[in-house]
Amino acid sequence: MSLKDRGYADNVLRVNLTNQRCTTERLDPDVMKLLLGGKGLGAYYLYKESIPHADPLSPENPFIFVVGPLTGTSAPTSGRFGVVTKSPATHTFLDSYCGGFFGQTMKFAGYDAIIVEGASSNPLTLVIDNEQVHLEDAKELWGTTTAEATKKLKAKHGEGFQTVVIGPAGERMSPISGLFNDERTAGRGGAGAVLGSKKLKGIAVRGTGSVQVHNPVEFDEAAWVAYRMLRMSNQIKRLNDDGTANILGLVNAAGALPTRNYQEGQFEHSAEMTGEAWRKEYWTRSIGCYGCPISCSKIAHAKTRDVAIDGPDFETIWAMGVNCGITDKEAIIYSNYLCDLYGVDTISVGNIVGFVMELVQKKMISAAELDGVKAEWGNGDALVALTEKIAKGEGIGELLQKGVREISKHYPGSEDFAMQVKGLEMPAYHPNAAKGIGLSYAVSERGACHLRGSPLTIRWRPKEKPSSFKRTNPILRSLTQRFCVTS
Amino acid sequence: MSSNVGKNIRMSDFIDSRDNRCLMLDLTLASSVGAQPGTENISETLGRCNAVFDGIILNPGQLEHHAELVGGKMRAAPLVRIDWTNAYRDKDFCLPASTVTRVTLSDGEDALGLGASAVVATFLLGFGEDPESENIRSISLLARECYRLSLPLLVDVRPIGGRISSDNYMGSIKLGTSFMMEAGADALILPDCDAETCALIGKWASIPVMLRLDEIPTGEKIEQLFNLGMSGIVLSEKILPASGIEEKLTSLKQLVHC
Amino acid sequence: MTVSSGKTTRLNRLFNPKDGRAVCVAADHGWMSDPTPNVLELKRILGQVVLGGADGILVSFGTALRMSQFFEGKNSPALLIRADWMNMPRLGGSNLSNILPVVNFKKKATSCAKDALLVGASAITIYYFIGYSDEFEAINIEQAACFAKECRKIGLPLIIEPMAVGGMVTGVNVTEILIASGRIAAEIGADALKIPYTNDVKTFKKLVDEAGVPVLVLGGAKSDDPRDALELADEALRAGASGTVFGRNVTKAQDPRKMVEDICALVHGGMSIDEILGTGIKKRGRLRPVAVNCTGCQLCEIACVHYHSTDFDQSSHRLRIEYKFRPNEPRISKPIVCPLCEKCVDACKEEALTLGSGGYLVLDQSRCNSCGDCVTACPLDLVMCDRQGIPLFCDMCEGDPQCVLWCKPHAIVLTQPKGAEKHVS
Repeated sequence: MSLKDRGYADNVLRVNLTNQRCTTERLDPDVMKLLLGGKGLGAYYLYKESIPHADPLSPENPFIFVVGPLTGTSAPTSGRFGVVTKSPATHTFLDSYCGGFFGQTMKFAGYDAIIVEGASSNPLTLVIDNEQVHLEDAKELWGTTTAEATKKLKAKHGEGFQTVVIGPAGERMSPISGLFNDERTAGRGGAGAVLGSKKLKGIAVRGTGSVQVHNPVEFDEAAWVAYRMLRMSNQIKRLNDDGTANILGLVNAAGALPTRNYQEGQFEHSAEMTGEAWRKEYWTRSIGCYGCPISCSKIAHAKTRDVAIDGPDFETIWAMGVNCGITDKEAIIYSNYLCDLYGVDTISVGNIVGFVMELVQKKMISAAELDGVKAEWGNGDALVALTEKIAKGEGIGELLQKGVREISKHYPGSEDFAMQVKGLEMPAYHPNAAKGIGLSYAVSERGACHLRGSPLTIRWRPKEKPSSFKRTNPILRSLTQRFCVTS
Repeated sequence: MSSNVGKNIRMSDFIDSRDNRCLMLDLTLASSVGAQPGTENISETLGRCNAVFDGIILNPGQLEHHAELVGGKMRAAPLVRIDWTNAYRDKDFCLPASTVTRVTLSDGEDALGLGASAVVATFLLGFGEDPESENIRSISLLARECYRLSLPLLVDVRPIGGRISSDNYMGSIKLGTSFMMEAGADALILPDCDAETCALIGKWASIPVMLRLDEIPTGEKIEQLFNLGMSGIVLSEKILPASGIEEKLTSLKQLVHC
Repeated sequence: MTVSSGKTTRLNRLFNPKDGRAVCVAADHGWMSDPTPNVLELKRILGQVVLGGADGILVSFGTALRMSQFFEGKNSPALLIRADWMNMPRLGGSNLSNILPVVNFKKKATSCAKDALLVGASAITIYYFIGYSDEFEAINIEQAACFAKECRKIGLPLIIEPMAVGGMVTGVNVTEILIASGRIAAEIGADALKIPYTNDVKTFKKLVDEAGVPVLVLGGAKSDDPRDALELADEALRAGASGTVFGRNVTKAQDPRKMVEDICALVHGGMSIDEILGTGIKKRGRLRPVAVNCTGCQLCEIACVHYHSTDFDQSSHRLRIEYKFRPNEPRISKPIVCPLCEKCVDACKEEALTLGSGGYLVLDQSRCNSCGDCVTACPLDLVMCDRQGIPLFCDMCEGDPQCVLWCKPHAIVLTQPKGAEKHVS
């Protein structure tokens, strides 16, 4: 039985930007038996093709787009794609995932993986129309926002093309930059910077091929049962009604909602920030990614600033809201909008702003240093102003865009409240309320990551009062040193 | 207050008074880890085995639902397993046990009501002080109840805890034997042990001792263990999936009761 | 199966002696979670449930005392009493939308079997939680064994409800745990089980077979679509289950009486789901898009493609999702479906493409000359030609449109417009 009968396209596209050559190769059927899904495939190629101690931003670091065997089928929620590379934020393995519509299009175009290697000296975009692949000049796209680049690419090649692009932050090789398929993001770990270092602004892909499964009848039955389970699940219903932020109240009640840069585990205004509150005030409709009946994404409309975006999701609401003590929803939406536009990760930006606000609280940084921004807890305008500086890399933003670890190096004594593991800013679960989370952050290959081992739902019982948490940085640091190899 | 008449009569339900030997089957592992190969359909298993064995150990729920398949003149006498433990949940089970517990499922009165000829309790060894002391206490209480009710009490000695090694394994069997005789057991079920230990226990124990085996023993082995003073064999459900099991069991029965 | 005469007569009250099956309704939610509408309206709902013909209703001790009228009379439902209490629905980690969330999992025996017997119960139901912690499971086993002992003494049937809940339960081991727990419950002394469906017939059959006692399947969370619950019951029955204990899928239904009647028709009447819901029959109708509901997930396209071919692709669907992009706004989507305007039929000179007697388009392949006139005639660009030149068009999946079935937010619906029959011979 060939791989093609089992969900794979059995084809890998290799794009060498140095000599601008595009080739394809088959998958190794013996190796595929050992690999699980897109992540396994990406890890395999990265392991095989990367050079020890290579700089993540050097031409030697391959950048790999991957999809799994289920991508493109009717299996619910299977439309995501991943990118695998060495992270400029953590200097180790990075896999970052993204919903939207790129994954299945790449599969229908006939590729399980796209390996981008080398680097170009001038800006390029990669255009894939099924088996027709070419690189083209992207001088007029370089420097544009993600929305503009996407629009231009679609205008040039047609609406049938799906795109991923990086924003100006990726071009500047900021370690907090991501890549964007329409409004969906593979945000964490600085994937955008790697593409920026290769001078690849984006990819446009069209696919009209097909995916076969081995036993369509049984596959159908299994997919239908999975679909029925989704419809009969309380959790999914909450996800559908209140988005990913439906858990915010729960995390808060558990004392695990990091507040004001992790100083506390509960936010006094959490009721204003739950999915329910957002739904009533700001959400206009639900949107779903390819093949996903859940549609946890919500469109939020910021009336006074007149932007509508897909989001903010739970992590963003936490990072830009709770973590900065902010309840100004319009400011959060607008900051999220800026992040999307310039191509940076909202979790990291929220963390950076929270960190800066604590520097201000501790009088370790002056307003002058912050270009006059009054970065006090709860100040929504300061959030927007700092986000803009980070997104554009201007003024103090030039330093801030490097991430919490780099910033703290400039402020001696701030290491103990620089909330990061291996250089990746921490997500929305306070390790003090669930110690297992701390271990998970410490040993995760991606650093402080919300998608790895998640010992959340059981034994979530803080011993200390959430309002008097001591931040666990020294513990995390020692765990990190003990269990992990970092550069 | 009570004589041993009841115990003697009930004991003779499963230990043949002609040769003082017995052949039994234990079908109770399912209460810990679910159905095992060969016990998926318990009534079918009982139908196949009830004429071969002298006694069959069942959990209370199964005895209640399948009483018509056991007991009486031609069929195996029912014995009730009185406790439940997760000690048998190893890595092969979908939910391996990390903290071993043992709880009582039934009591002597309930077992008598179910028509059992005896009750079987488990004595777990090697899991530490708390479980051990609790186990001792529970079996002692049960022994006193069984004395009042004239109901035979069998104790299944299981040295399987983390503190058991190959060095202290045989010693633990001796220790278990001693403790349980002191507690008031009427018969013992011991794990398969070497000839030396068998001989020692055979001489020392004044109550019937049966060996628990996971496979059908050879004629040689049967002869040896009876010579060493053992009174019988308790086979576990692990023997059931073997091919041609009916014939093997019939010839085993002839070997035991020659 | 031998049980005492007390157990036999009481089980006979619950299980219909004709087919040995039972349709039960669980209405004990107010005992363990928030007073949601189905709890506040319990009396009205139970009245409906009785009219629907349920064989048994599971309630708390207090409800049994207050609403005993529902259980009076030979043909009224059997009274099943929930003899324990637990706080799982309020356990943080899965849910916070309740009034008073809790952190630690607790379960207590609350009624004794004898009290249940005295108020006229035909059985009691207790939980058996497995997977939270070894200690917690042992407490559950001990309580279950205690109830089993008491029930044996007084001849009251015991229904054990195994639930795989907790951090040790994963998607990988949940089915295996459920199968084992069913048998464990029977070993302890359950006379019947109330257990969640394992989501496929094969494994559930294993569960039913190995348990060796009657198995009643429970329904779980309420689905928007009554078909889901019926499908689940149907599959469980095929696996050998003896009936259902549905809770929220009945008590939260718009018409609880109808829902119970439907389940009875399935369990006792031997009717198929399509017969019950009036689906599956090739209905005449038209597809109508409801753009405002569309999330743009394209499941309709996937379902369409996969119905017409075994492959999945993105180019041969006979409907499509259209996206609109506006500046500073995310995409907005809407479904474009065939409105049966018949312009393609008019354009086909060979009369290969016609509106069939079923009310959907059919192609006579022997007449089709692959001219492509139908493709150009379609004002919505929904007709296309495949690689062999055969036109692909919306045939409403021969009367059972898959896009409607798969669209969760109901952005595509089937309507019956007046005059739809005008072309039907």
